[in-house]
Amino acid sequence: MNLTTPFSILLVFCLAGCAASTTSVLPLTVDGDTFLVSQREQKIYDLSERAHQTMLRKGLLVSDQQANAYLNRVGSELVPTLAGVAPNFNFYIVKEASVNAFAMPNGNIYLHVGLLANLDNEAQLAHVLGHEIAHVVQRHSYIDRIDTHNTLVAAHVADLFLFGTGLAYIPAGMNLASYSRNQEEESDTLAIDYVSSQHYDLRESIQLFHHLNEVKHTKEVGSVWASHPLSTARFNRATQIIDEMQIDTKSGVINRELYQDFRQRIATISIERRLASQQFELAEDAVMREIEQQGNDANWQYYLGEIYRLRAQHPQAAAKEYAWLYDKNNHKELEKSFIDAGDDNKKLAIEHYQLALTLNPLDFQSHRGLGLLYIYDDNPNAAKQHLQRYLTQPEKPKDWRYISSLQAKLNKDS
Amino acid sequence: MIITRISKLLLLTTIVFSTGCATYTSVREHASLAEVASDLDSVVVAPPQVNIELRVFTGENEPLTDKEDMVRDQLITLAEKRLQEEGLKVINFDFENAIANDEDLAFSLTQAKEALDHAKKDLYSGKAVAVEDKAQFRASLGPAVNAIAEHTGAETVLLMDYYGFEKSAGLKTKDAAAGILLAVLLGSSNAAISAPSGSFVDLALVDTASGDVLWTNRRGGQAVNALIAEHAFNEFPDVAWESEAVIPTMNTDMESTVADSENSAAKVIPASYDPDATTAEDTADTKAAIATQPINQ
Repeated sequence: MNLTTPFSILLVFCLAGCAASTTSVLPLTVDGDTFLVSQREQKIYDLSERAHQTMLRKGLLVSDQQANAYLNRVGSELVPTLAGVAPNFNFYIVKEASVNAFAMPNGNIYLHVGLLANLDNEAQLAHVLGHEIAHVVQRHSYIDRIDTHNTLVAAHVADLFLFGTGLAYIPAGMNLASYSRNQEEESDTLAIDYVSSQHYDLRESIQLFHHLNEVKHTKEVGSVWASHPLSTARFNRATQIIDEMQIDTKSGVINRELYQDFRQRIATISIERRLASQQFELAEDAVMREIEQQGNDANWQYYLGEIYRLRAQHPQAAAKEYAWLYDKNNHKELEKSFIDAGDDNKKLAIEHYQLALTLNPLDFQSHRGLGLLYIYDDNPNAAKQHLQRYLTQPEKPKDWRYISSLQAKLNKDS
Repeated sequence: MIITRISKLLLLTTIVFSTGCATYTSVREHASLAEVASDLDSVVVAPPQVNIELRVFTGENEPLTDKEDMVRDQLITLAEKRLQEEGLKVINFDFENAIANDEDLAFSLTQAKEALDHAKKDLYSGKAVAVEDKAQFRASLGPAVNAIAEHTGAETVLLMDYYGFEKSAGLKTKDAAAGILLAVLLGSSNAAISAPSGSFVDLALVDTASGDVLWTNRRGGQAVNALIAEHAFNEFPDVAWESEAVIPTMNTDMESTVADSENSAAKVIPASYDPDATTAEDTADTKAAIATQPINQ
């Protein structure tokens, strides 16, 4: 059997793949007109455009004009002067509750509502934006793609010698917004540069990492904004960089109130996305943060009611979240403890819904919550009463069909 | 003695194996499907989620967009045809245009798919389901699909999720080389080589008012086309939908007039009509409509 042919083919691939070098990739601030010259960079640019269209088609981008205008104003002011051909920078808010932000090589920068809900002011926002802008300016996606290609080709050959068992083969995947440790550090350094050029208070850049470190339960995989060990390291590095650059940190723009106005427009999206993902504890954290920032009102009490109701109704999901957050095994005892806590959770749900109605008797969504809770609690009369109250609100609710179908089932069963 | 012992063991194993061999199914049906179906008459096919990629040697997998468009069209055509054959009224709705102009509808569709993913975890977790047990399930997407009802007027929606891959020449060569090397080392004359292509489809029919999952099925195959969906549809439940109900006709003029007015009154009642509800806008309109129907003599 002739074994040389497949090896020859693989060797050709390896040599071809290893030919590309990252040292010839210039940042967009340096005149060299190399942007989009290579086919590989054009490919990742096209993929970025495609990813954006997909997000639009799925309705994943927040369309609030005021919120978007604010974000784009802050972001565009941070973009450094670019030389030659360069992408346009656009900033978007994603309806995703995890603490994350990412940049695509086509200049589109996306911030999750989950991250935005955890920032305190515009200066902290500026640092996040500056960091993501730096990834685009430095063409990190393209550099990463060259490095990955070389690594993968080599891994394939190694894999072959390990007889296709996959032991050495780690697929690089299509993650255009995934960067190396060095690239993240470079972006942090440049972010400080961009932020100081717009006279933001650099103490907030340092405070950002300290603050994110305090955010409970940040476990999102692949997010540099949600890793505690990374945040500590970045906090230390940021302090060191600012010292070395001898930048004045005694004063600067913070714009806390402007930022809070912006946050309020998108605050509930983060909570609702957590609930949809059955992340009840994280949803509770988000609600408590809003109560701290904006004060208590019927809306937040309603969401607390929802959290406790859903915890009671979905104890397995609650146990799974707990196991994930606290690195426990999701074993039967853990599930049982959440099932046993069902009555307590129902009681707490009722308390919060009723408090919401006390704060605002026209809080119809709390009637909905109570109705659903009483269905689960096998109290059809109370359920019907509250669901009926919900349906009689002046503006027809969007889920009237679902609620009416529940009423029909209750009537049929009684 | 040894041979006898081995034979007995083989016989025992055969008996255990054959009695334990039930026919399993990937179909899941609502526990009260027949009853629910009698109140439903229309369906809309949501735009299928289709992802087909070319897996390449370098790992820089590429989407096969032309193939995705082709399979998407095939799936929609197939689904509409089969659902019509099953007796449902298929509603034509331009989702692409509606989604482009309505972020809420676009997001509702995303949420519906996410809710379905959650429901499928419950429907397909645990041990395999025997054919005779396929119609014992209750799962709901909640209100996530109400927006589809609002925009299309359809009482049910078909959701489809399709994934496919093809391997590049370079990757096929690598797989072949790996298989050959392994065979050589093991002294085997057969080289096991992984498939050059594959596809998987997930279908779900959902009640757009209650969110109840009425029927789901999933299939995999080697070809990257809509054929696996065709196979999945072959297991669509044989139930009587409201659109298939036959309304008896009367002989005399007077009786037929009365029957016509009764039938007209029956048609205006929405599927979710609650005779006890007195203040919901729709039911109030419905009651008013019935009250003003002229009674012919």
